Amino acid sequence: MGILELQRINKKYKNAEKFAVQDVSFKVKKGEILALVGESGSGKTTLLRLIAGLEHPDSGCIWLSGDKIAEGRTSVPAHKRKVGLVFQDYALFPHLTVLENVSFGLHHTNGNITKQAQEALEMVGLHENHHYYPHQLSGGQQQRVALARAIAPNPKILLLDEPFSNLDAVLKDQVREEIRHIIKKAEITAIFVTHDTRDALSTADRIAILHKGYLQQIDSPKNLYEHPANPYVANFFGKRNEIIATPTVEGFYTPFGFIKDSRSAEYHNPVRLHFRPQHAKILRSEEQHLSGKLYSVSYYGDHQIVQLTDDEGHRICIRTGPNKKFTGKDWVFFTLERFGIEEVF
Amino acid sequence: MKKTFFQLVCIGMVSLSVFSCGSKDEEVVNIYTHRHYAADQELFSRFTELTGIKVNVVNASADELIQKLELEGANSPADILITVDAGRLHRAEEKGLFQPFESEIIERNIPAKFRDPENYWTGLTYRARIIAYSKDRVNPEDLSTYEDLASDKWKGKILTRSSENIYNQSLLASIIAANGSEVAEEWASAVLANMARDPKGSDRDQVKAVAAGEGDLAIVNTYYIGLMLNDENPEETKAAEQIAIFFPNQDDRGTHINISGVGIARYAPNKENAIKLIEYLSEEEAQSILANLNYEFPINDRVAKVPLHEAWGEFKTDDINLSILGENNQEAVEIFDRVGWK
Amino acid sequence: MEKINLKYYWWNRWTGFALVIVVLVTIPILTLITNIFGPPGSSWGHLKENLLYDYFINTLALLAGVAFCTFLLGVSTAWIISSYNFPGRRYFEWLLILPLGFPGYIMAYTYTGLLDYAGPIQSILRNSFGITVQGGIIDIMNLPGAIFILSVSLYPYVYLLARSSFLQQSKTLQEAAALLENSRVRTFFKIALPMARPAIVGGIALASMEVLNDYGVVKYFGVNTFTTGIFRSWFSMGDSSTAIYLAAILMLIVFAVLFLENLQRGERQYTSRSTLNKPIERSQLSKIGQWSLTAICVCILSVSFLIPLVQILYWVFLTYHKVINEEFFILIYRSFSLALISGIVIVILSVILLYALRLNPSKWVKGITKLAILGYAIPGAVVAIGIMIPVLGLDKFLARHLSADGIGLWLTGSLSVVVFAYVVRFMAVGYQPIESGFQKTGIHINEASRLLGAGTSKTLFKVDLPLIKSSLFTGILLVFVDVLKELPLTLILRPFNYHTLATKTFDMATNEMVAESANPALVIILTGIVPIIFLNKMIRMRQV
Repeated sequence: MGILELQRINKKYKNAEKFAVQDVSFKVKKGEILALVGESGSGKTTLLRLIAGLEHPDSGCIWLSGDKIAEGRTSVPAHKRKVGLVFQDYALFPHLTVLENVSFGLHHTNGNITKQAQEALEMVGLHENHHYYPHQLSGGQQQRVALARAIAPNPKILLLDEPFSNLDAVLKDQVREEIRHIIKKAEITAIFVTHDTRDALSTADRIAILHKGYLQQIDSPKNLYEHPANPYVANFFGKRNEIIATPTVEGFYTPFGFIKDSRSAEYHNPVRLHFRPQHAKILRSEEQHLSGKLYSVSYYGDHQIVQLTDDEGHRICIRTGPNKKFTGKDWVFFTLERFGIEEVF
Repeated sequence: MKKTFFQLVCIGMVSLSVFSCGSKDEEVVNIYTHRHYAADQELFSRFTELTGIKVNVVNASADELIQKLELEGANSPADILITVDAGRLHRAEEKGLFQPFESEIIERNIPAKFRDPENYWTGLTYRARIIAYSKDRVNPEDLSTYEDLASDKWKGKILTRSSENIYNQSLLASIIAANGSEVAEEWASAVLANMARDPKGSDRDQVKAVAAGEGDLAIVNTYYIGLMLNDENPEETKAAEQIAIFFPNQDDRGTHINISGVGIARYAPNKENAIKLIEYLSEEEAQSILANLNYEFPINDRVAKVPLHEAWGEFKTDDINLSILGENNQEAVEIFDRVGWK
Repeated sequence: MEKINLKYYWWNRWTGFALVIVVLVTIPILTLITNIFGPPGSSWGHLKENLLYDYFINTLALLAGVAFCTFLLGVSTAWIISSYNFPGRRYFEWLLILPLGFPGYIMAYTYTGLLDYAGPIQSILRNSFGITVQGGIIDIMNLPGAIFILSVSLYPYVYLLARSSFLQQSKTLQEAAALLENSRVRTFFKIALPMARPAIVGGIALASMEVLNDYGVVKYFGVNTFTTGIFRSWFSMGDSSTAIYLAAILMLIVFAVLFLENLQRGERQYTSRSTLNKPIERSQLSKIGQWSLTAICVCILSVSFLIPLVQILYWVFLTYHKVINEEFFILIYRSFSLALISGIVIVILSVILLYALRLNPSKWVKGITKLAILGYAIPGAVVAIGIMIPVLGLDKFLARHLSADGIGLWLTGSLSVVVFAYVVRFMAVGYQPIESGFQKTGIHINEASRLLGAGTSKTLFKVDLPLIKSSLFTGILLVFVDVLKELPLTLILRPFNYHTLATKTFDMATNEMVAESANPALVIILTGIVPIIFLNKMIRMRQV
């Protein structure tokens, strides 16, 4: 039985023409970390706020721990939901100390409030700063206080709004690991929202991709990467090259040359071949291989990205080692180690 | 914090509204008065001293007070309405805001011509609206009547206040009574054309303007002259010393006078006390104070004359029924509006 | 698991309270609107023919004149304060706001007395120089005089908003100035002025509201406007229907002004909510240039504040022994307590309204809260009339049904009606600082608190309110000062025996006791100054 279930949720903001969230349904298992990923305007933050009770759906149901917390235009008010939320700007209470902030949600619980708050602070590694005020802490420390505050009352589910977007690249990896570690240690179910796929890939157990209010696919990172449901999802995790090809008995004719493949027998009409940059290999000689005109080479320290074009200017990207040289060459030869086939309609 | 806050506010609101009800134990008389002279305070204090009755005063223009009485109706706490103009007394009576009262003392002290024949109101003092003229520039032989002010020889020389003021309205009302509306309108128009400047300011301002040479004649009330001559500010006195007063129409109907008067409210809760107060005001002591401190003409003719009034001498007064000042008021206002006398 | 009830999310007790407040507060407007459809009063015909034209012309002339003069005074001072360095600039920055604490009607009496025949200027001329001033030269009791007085006491509105705008443009201006060859003058006309236009027009609109509200100045100077017409119809002619007609026309003019202002502003705000910009680098002029700027400021400050203040002090010196007595202190006590209670009530109501909006920022909640602050645009006399009618009706109804025997009028003539009228009129004054306080706090804090289990009320008291303490205080202070200065509304509604400092001042001045009136006037001025100094400190702190 899942902790959270959304059934056919629709939400439209008053002034907008389009729906912010359209017909979204999914379940979240106890203890898992789910990432909601999408561009801005995809509806991911709206979903978070719907779960929190800060927004309300136009139609659809939300269930939390077996209780219905929203249905159509009725809903349980936010303060009764026992949902934790870490805001993007942390929203710490500036007039209260760290300890008071963390204790805030504990006032109706039994037991020693201070002790519980201290425990939460320890979990995030800030038990020594409990008498400080938020403005006296660094950004990272503030985030951890916000996390402790949200976790302390043992919410049924923890929500995080763009927890990694305020950080610079150097810190990000460290913070991603820390946060995943804390959440797992607290044994809490969590959903976080991000626009950065790398955050999702490294921190989440499952990822849900949202685009223009619709849920595109929800799956483990590996499955999303390897078996994307549609081009949008595929492109989300990195560049995907596409070549139009004509099948023959033995293989495919492409603008870059002929490639032998037994799967061609199944197709009669032109198809689209797709492959990741790292699934193509650059070769020295031209025997039986594909070739394209060299367009550009970009160096990235541990790898290079080579762009090739066909006669009509369509471009593909190939990832290759850092040491290959391309000076003085017009043509580059390559082969596809792996590629997928889609029908073109 | 929340609780005490709300409690405080509730207490505050309740106490504010209860504020308006007075205590019921002591004797009071509630006055709505237009009079705004310092002398009045003295009179009321003295009255309280003598009788133990507390005097509550609401001070506003007669118009506002009449409005208030009308709206309050039977629930009005007012006992007495005091005005500075007969016209307003008449209006209050017409609106049914007064009740008649009788008192031998009042009848003894106040001549009948200053009382309403049906006993709805009585005057307390009277004042004349006279011509104050520049001693240097005007020959009193040239002055005669109000009507004469319309003649060309006074072009650019006349000063008086706005038509908004009841003193001028009542003056015009008396002219309507004497000469009819058409003539009155022509008169108003001509006088307006003779004015040295737009009508504005108080009566005192007119006197000062004469002293400054802006005009030669000012139409003002008698008591202001008295007040100015005895003012603390020496400049006021100096200004007043440069004019002399003239009582118009001595050879025909007499100079226009007006009264400051009083009526008892129809639903007065303290009628007895009200009568006592009016009686007091009609007696020599009060009348003398009014004459000496405010330079109004006392209505009680047994009162000794104030030196200034002695100097001015006797004069003939226009003895039309004062109610007429009220009856003609509306028309006077409309005439002023039509001729553009602001 | 315990069953938790699902509720309709858009209805909570805060929205309910807000609705009640808005309904109560719009009663005067509704009363007036419904009464318009009755037949006009008996004097309407006469009025229409002879006076209506005057009312229109005078009102329009006042608006145009004051708009023009406040523009000149306000924009010029704002510009020199924000762009140039000159001796005393730091002081003039806030000193120039002081005229706001000096109500227009008090300035009217003061200047009249100052320039009067028996006043100091003419007396000195006569006695020391033997010059008798031909009257009419320095006569201000007319339309131009009214424009002068109103402009000189209202220009700070334009000054404040223009200055704010110029200071925020600081960076843009500096860059633009560099492009325009560092010519301050050209920068001003080509860049600064157009950019500041919404703020300037906003300031002029505020000043215009005050002009339309004024009664004391125009009455004293004999200028016939709609407000004087309302008083005249209501009181002198006893024609309430005509008074209501005039009130309605006046309201239409007010709405027209507001509409125009809103139109040209679009969705822009006057003050940016973004954080501060670098303080502008001010330009240095030659010594002569600097001192001439100082001279300009000194002149404006003198005419608009110092000279009238000195006259007031002189009169107080002359007459205080007559006026300052026990009764005077009672007067002060009454005025202050009335103003304070009004301030607290308004702040409480504003918090309720804004909190309802905070929790539920939907269009219709936004709309009804806008209605609640409409009263600020409505002239005091109009509000008073709009309240008198239903209150009296209610009183008579109560009296009949509660068989009042000697209880007298319950509501009319009570201070709760006056406070209610102040709430209608001044809600916006308390509303605005609290609105900006809430905005600065941001909604996430409130949401965080609620998600931690605190209900809406608990969140309000434990989180939202403590964080806007200074806004609450500002709200009370601003309402306090406005109530203290208020004249026309109080004149109509005040209870038995009750004077405020303002009505007492008016009363004395119009009854030829101008010098004595300076005593209560001085108290008003002094209290009016305090928040200005205080507010200015706050504005500066926000900029630093």
